[in-house]
Amino acid sequence: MKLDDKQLEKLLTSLPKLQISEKADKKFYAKLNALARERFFEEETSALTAPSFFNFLRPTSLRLGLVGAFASLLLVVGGTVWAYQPSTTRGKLMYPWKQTAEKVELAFAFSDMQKVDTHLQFSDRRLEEAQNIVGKSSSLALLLQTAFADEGEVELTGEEQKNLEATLEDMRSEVTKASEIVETRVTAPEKAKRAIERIESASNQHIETLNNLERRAAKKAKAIIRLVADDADERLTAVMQAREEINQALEKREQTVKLIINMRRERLSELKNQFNDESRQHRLEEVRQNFTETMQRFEVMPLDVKQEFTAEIEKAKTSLEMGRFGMAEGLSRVMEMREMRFKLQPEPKPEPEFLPADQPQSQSQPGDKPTEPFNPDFQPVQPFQPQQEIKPDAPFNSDAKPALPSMPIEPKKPFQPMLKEQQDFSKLPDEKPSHPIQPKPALINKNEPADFQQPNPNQQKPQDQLPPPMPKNDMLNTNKGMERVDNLMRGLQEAGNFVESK
Amino acid sequence: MPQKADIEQFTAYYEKHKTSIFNYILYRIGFNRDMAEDLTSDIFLKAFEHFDSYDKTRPFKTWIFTIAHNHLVNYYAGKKETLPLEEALEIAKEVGSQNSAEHNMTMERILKLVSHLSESQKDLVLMKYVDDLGNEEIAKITGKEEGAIRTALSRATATLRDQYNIQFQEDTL
Repeated sequence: MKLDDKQLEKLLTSLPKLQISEKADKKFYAKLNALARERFFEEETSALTAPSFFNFLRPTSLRLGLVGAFASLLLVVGGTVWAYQPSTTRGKLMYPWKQTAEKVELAFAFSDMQKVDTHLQFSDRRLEEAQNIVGKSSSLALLLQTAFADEGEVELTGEEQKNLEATLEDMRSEVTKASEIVETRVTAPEKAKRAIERIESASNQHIETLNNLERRAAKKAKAIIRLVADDADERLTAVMQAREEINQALEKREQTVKLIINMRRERLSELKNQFNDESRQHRLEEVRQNFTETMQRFEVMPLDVKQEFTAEIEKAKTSLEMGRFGMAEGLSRVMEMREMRFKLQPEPKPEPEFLPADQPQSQSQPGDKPTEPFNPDFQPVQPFQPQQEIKPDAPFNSDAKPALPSMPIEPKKPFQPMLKEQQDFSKLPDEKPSHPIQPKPALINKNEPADFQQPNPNQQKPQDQLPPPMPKNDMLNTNKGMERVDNLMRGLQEAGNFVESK
Repeated sequence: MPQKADIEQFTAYYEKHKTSIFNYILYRIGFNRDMAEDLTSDIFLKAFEHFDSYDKTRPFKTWIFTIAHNHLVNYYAGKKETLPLEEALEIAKEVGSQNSAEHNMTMERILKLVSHLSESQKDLVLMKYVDDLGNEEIAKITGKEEGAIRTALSRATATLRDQYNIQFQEDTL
């Protein structure tokens, strides 16, 4: 049978036809949407610039008005771009413009996170400006320093010094504002974590930059920079503590978190504005001791807990070597906080027995603290050092630290570990009643067995206060544990009364 | 400058013609499905970009096919190989699986013959029968005279018919 034209046509028209896939369809629509948006946008903007549009407008005044508006827009944008240069520093013509533009920028940061970021960005800018102020003379200073050793430093002028101080103060206050937002408005732990991490990394960067800057700067500028760098370092302690609090809240799956950063920092840096070589040295020594004590307590921790802290320990050592006491202190406190958490765990892992023989010896000499920064051979003493825990009592404090008789500044309490701070807060009547410390009573209670075991808080000698049995092993025994908790509660109460009567 | 109404209209056009354009491309690039889908999307986006230059008194079908035709020409300008239609056989089998075996065999033969036509003849045949375009539309798209198209088409179909009858006569007897 031969194929005729009609049959052929029929065959040809029934050749297979495929359908476009749904995926390809979606892809196309996505692209089309994007293109349409782009086109609309182009149209809107071209309405201002397209020459045809101007031709269409007959009245000259209208045209002139538009040209004027456009020109002023250009001026504002251009001016802002110019003002935003790091070389526009305090005291310069365009600086007020920059400040105004930043206010506008801040007004456009709607969410809390955006605000935190914006403030941190501003602080970075201030630092850049500071670098610029110092940098102007620093290259020359560096040249002269290398040429004439220490003789020919180029100092900043009086005004430049003022500007540098004000700029760095602004930088500091921007970071403070960022942390204020976190303190007062961010309660979701996840969010707080992100915010605090940004603050931490920004502070770290600031300190690093400031340290570098200090090296280049001439004498007077050096002092100004040092002060701010130290202050930023102090802040880091509070920030790291806050971060650890968040971590713990996240672990416990708490829904909200309340942080203190600024107030804690202020308490820490009561010495601020007084930082000089001597006080720095003293502060560093103090942190070093604190760290060494923490390390000693860690010696008795199970291996896996110790391993968890390897990185922190290393970092803290490096920080101490670099003179970064704030960072070291922060790490030390983070370790303390985790240590507490570990101790609060319901099933403490069996660990090596304490040597009771060692105990009286160490207690008989409460002031015999190691002054060497890191003594790897140091005998593990005991998990809680009573003399440390009792420090909040000011008179006792001076007793407790005979190792540092020549300290230039009386360390009242600003540098006590976290625990005591909390205590301080709760005791001080002038503190805010809604203090964020409140949600943590459990931590305090369970961690102060050593302090308040003996209901007589008037006793000054720590060794008298501590009963012979070791707290750690006691915890294994539930009955004894309960008894201890009772004792502890009683002790706490009496301690409270004691403080009130004082 | 596309208005909202334009976009709606364009979307309607796309829905109406996407299958034709897709198959038009598919048959001409060796049944590479993914590629055909990409090219179809490109063609419609190109059309959208120039939608304001589209004369709405004229049929959209010819306009979009012209764009597709030119797009393919450009596409081939880079790659000089001609793609065989034989690959369509497999697809023809898949698509036509519900048809009788005899129908499928005939289909295969036709496709084979179409693929052996000269490029211009093949193009015409596909436009006419697969893409359902009229002679006038084909003329506009290819930029040729309608009469020339008619003659060329009848010549192509005659070739197909004769080839079919010579090659497969014995089978169908």
